Formats: sequence, structure tokens, C-alpha cells
Amino acid sequence: MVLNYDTLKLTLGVIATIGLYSVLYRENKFYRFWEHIFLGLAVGYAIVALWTETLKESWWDKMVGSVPTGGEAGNPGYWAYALLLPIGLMGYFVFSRKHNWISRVPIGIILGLWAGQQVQVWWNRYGPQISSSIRPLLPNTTSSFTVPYIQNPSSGQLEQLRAQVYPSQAISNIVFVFTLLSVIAYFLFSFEAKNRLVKSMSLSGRWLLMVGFGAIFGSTVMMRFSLLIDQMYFIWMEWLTHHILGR
Amino acid sequence: MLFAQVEKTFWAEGSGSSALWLKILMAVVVGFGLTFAMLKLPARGRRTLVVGITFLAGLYWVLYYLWPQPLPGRLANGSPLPHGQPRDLVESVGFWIKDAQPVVSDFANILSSFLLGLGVFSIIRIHGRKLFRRQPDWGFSAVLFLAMIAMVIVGYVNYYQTRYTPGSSKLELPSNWGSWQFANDLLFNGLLQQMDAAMFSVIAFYILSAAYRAFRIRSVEATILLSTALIVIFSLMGIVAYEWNNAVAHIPGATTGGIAGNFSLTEIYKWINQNVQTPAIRGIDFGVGIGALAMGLRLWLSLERGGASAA
Amino acid sequence: MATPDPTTPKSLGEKLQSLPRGILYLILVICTSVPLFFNIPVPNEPTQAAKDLFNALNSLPAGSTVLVGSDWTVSTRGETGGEFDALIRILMRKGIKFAVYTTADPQAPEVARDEIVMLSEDEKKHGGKGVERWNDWVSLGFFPNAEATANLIAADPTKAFGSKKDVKPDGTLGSALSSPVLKDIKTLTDFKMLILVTGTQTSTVTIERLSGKGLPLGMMVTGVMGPETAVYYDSRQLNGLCAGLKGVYDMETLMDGTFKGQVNFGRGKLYYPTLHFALALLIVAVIVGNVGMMISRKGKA
Repeated sequence: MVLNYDTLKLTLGVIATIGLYSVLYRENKFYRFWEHIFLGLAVGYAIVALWTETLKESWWDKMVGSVPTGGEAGNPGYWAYALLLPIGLMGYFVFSRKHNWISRVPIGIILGLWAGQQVQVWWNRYGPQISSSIRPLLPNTTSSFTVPYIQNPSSGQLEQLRAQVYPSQAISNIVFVFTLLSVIAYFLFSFEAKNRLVKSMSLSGRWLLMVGFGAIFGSTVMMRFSLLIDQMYFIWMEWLTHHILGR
Repeated sequence: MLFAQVEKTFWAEGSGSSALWLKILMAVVVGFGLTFAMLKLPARGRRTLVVGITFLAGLYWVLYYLWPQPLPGRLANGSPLPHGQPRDLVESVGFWIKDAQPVVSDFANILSSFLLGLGVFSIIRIHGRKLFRRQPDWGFSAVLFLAMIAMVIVGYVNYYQTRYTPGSSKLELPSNWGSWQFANDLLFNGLLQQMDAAMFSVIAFYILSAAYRAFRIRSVEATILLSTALIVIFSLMGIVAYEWNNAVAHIPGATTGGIAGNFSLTEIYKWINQNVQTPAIRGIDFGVGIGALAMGLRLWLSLERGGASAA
Repeated sequence: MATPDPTTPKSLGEKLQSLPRGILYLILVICTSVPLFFNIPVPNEPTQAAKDLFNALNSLPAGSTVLVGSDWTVSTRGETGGEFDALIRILMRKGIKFAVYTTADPQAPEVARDEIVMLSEDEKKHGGKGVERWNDWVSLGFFPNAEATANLIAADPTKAFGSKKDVKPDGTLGSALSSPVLKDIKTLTDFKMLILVTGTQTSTVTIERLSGKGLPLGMMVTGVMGPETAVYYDSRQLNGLCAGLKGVYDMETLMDGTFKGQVNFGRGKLYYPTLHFALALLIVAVIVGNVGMMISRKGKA
């Protein structure tokens, strides 16, 4: 084992990791100690980053301007940016019992700006999805049930293949459209529907939703396990094998 | 021309000039003065103020998208128009809206930064109270403050050294680090990031425990969910997919367009993904989107009870 | 509800449903640790979405500039870290300049900078060129309001990044727009592509405001976001998608097919075999729980 900065850093990281993992057994003071260190470091870094990564250049430098230096042109100072300080600090009135309504001024600005954008961004996001959901439901050829297999097709053959809708594709499209409409029926017709067609679509929508949730569950599981494997690699390989045992 | 880049106007002054600092000071005094004046506002006026501000903020973007935009090509050589002036009110407003976008974006970013500080302030307030009143477990609050102060000091010194000192570009490489860079690396990468990763990875244990205890095939829905999850998980396992596909490939005609080729795990998963999973999630997305659109309209017009405009 | 009599021995079904939590956790730790010590080759067929993303990156002309959204931190390093590594290696080897910005987390810019420096040094150690800050890449910092920033990038990137400074090779600060990376960028489409590496909802914010504007979009997301982001790949709003640890391994596999003899494999190859054991444990745990339930039901019947 070589005692150097990297070993010290990794060892500290391993102790902190084990400290946080100790909560799996039960809540304990060792866990709380590391939890508070984590919180303290996160808050401290937020204080640094909010100034260095954003406010310094986007607010302060614009407000006070700059003089020409070393090939860089100077900029005038725009004093109106100073008004953002009292407006931003209004948000902190949320902690006042009597005057917390004032915090709604900056929050209202942010929410208003977000709400105004929905007019257009909704279509940017969902328009292409709506158009891609409109699919041909009837085949236009019965020369083959499935898409024919052509080894190394030419671009002309590919174009011809894409222009055709084979019966298997039509069935897939019917399943697609039915799934989409059923799931939407389940969401939109959340009030009691008397119509039998809507009721059965709603029920099938609920079942088809489970397919979507199954996909989400499978992917979520992969992600969480990947994060754990990353931590195990850090402990067993990076720290123990490479740095402590020196292999 | 309110937001155009000019050297010296009512809105801009030379950097470092006394006129600039005087205007900044006056803006801050006026801003805080208005804040304190708002404290005296009667209850009825409060809602009107917040509703008005929210509406004006949203109105900018509504106008941005709906107002006729200035024609392209009329901004050549930095001059908007050959004759130097907008022709009418519509064009004037169009140019104003377009020119204002960087400023509106700046305002949004800066205000968001200030509001992000709320979380910081809240933590300092809660733990500060615990520490100074010697409430139970105040020792942990002391640890929190020590860690916070260490990160702030190290973070700022490191920032200054890596951006404002001669030869700062060399400090990018660990071989050129000084003690402050090592300290920053230890606190940020060695501790903060590592503990962040540990916190997130703990959920893996809970997922396994929850799946073992609660995932039961008691209904049609649960069966469908479990079956789909299993197909997704198998498709994520490269070895399983390889062996399954290999087995299917041995069926005559499977690799030359025969129907058997459709039963490889990759094809089954692809079909379910494209024709069932995608529309199901798309349907959920549409539902969420319609809700977001309705919520956006209600927030903009302050129709939402208990929202930003509630006083 | 009647409390179970503690003197009555548990039936097989009840035993199968009540394994102690500690035992489960221990087995999970073993399943996610032991395979790491072995080199287990796992065959892999990349998904079409990953192939499309790789091909889009691979066909970018040398010397062009792309925008990289880095909205990840070490909390999701197992997936997004591997994705970011693969992306930066591809950009380095293709000689593509990149500008890195963040809209999700104040910690993300420093994480990205540290990772790029580490990757660059690793490339140089293995005979590659690496990248130099200012000349090959710039860091544009953190933008707290993702919506406003994305809108401004779409309208005029010079205004979005105009106030940002970065460190020049001589150690002084200069406007990022005057760097070799951004000096030719005047409009959105002067960027050849935007690739977002994220574990947050900035993916939808970016799609809402930057898709359909003539800029190819690629995304590299965590596993959780894979299914919901795949919807946008299906509607061709994204030119390519890499999701989760499988996506990382797909990109590394594709890199290995193109950049022969170079360091291509990283976290994907290291973690993917172990993932099999963890997933198998999950499947076994669910099966055991359900078998226990069925045995209990039969016993009561």
C-alpha cells in the first residue's frame, strides 16, 4: 500500500460511503454524522457555485460592466440589473409569518414566464408525437404477410419496401393506435363513463398502461443496480484492490 | 431601443464610473424602498399586485410567440431597417419583444439563482437555531456548519486561484495543483460527490426488498406488469438475449426472413417496445401534457387557488 | 386482525415470504461485488437508437462545433458517467470542438470539467491527442433557469453565452464567444449537433424548445428516463438515444468497432456483466416471494 493523497482521498470516501450505508441496518449516530457532513458540503458548494457559475457573470459583471483589458473589449454597466437584488431577496420573505405573500412576487415572475411559454412549447413537444401516432391501419399489399427479407437491399428496393404496408405492419399499427387510444381513454375519461365502448377501452387502457409501467420498472431497476455496482467497484476495485493492495 | 447594446444611455453607464455606481445605489434603495412600501399594502392590493406581475411575465412569452416577428434580413449591418426606424407600431413592438429576450432570459436565470439560495438559507436557519439554542443533537449541526464553512472557503479560494491568478490554466492538471486545489478535490470529489453517489445507490437495496415483499401476482394488472418487466429485464441481459437469439437462429429460415426469426428475444422486445410500450407511455405523456397546458393557463391567469397569487 | 401465534412454526410459504432484510441486502452486496473481480465477456447487440446516435456523432465533420449539455453528477455516475466518457472520447478522436453548459445542478459544471481533463490525460497517455481548454472545448457554466436558457439558445446562442468567460491557455479570462470553439457560432444551426447527458427532466425542456429547429439532437439518459425519452426517438424528435448502462455498453461496443486499438471500454464493460447477477437476484427474489404466496394460499385452502 502506498500512502499518498489518492489513497487518503479514497479511504475517506469509503468510510463516508460505509457510514451512509449503515442506515440500512438502522438509523445511528455514525450515519447522522456523515449525513450532516454531506449536507454541509452540499450547502457550502451551492453557496460557491451560485455565485461563481451564475451570478458573477450573468448578474454582477453585467451590472458593473468591464474596462478593456488584454485584447478584450470593455462593456458598459447596466444599472437596472441592480433591481434584481431586492426582487430576488423578496423570495426570502417566505420565512416571515406576517409578510410571506411578498415571496410570491419573484415566484409569480418565474411561474408567469413558464406559463407563457406553454403556449408554444406544448406543440413543439407533442405535435410530432401526434403526427407520428397517425399510422396506416390497412395493408396496401398482400404479396407477403410480413416484410420480405432482402439481403443487402438497394436504395430503390428499400424505398419500395417503405412505401408498402404489409398485413403484419397493419396489425402492429392497429395494436399501436388501440393502445394509445385506450390509455388516453383511461386518463381522460376518469369520470364514470356510461358508454360501454368507453368503459371497455378504459379497462383495456389500464391493462396496457401496466405494460408501460413494466418497462419503466425494468429500466428503473437497471439504473439503481448500476449505481450500486458503481459504488461496489469504487470500494472493492478502486480503493481496496488498486490502492490498498496495490494490484 | 431600450435594450440595444449602446455605450452610454439612460440604462448604461461606463464601467467603474461614479454615475454608474450612483445609479446602482439608487436602484437598490428604490428597490428596497418599494419592498418596504409593499409591506403596508392592504390585503386586497396584494393579490392584485401578484396577479398583475404574473400576468405581465407570462404576457411577454405569449406576445413573443403570437406577435408578428420582425422580418429576417432587416437586421443586416446592425441596423434593423434601411430607413433606420420601424415603419409602424406593430413592427416597433416586434423589435422590442425580440430585443428583450436576452434580458428576460437573464432576469429568469438571476431570479432563479436567488431563489435557489432559499434552500441554503433554510438549512442555515434550522441548524443555526439548533446550534445556538443547544437543542438536542446540536453537535451534528456544528459538524454541518464546519463542513459548510470549509467548503465555502476552499471553494472560493480555489475559484480565485484557477481563474484570476497568472498561470491559472496550468492548475487544471493535478500535477500542478497547490494545497487549495487538493483541498477542493478532497472535499468536492473525495467526499461530496462520493456521498452523493452513495445516497442514490442506497435505493437499490430498497427496490430489491420492495420487489421481494410486495411484487405479488394477485391481479391481472400485476401479472401484466410483472411479465413486461421480466421481458425488459431479460432483454437488458446480454447473455440471455444472445443465448435465446442463438437458439432461434438454428430454426430453419430464421435468419433469411422466415417467420421464426420474429421470435428472437430482440425482435419480441422490439415489437413490444414499439407497438405497446411506446404508445402506452405516449398516452401517459399526453395526459400529463394536457394537464400541464391547463395548469400553465390557470397559473398565467391566476385562476389557481392557493397558487402564486393567493394572498 | 388476529395476531399470529409466535409459538406456531412458520409454514414453508410464510418462510419464503419473510426472508430477513439483512440477508437480502448481504446477497445483493455479494452479487454486485464478486463478479467485479472476474473478467466475464458478455456478447452485446447495440440497439438501433444507440447505433443512430453513434452514427450521428461519427459523421460529424472534423473541426465542427457541438453543444454538450452536461446535466449529471456523480450520483448517477454508473450510467451518465459512462455515457459522458464515451461521448467525450468520440468527440476528441473525431477532432470535434465542444462547448459544455449545464441547466440542472450547480455541481454539474465542475464534475464535467474534472471528467474532461481526466479523459484528455488518459487519451494522451494512450497516444491520442486529447483536448485543450479554450482551443478545443469551453465550459459555459450553470444556467439555473433551463426554460429561458433553452429558448435563448434557440433564438440566439451568442446572446445566451455572451456573458460567459473561460480560461485561456495563458491563464487569463476571455469571453467564451471569442474562443476558437465559439468564434464562428452566430446562429443555432452553426452548431452541428446538441447532445444532452442528463438524469433529470431537462431532456423534455430541451426537446420542447430546441427540437425541430434544424439542429440534430441526441440524448444520453439514465435508465429511469429511457422509456419516456424513447417516445421522442420514436417520433424522430431525437436523432439518437443512449439509455442506461446497456446504452453505455452499446456505445463502447460501437466505439470498439470503429476506433480500433484505442481505449474504448470503460464503465459499460466493467459493470454490465455484474448487472446480470443483480438482475437475476431480483428475478429470483420475486419468484421466491410469489411461490411463497401460492404455497401459503394452498395451505390455507
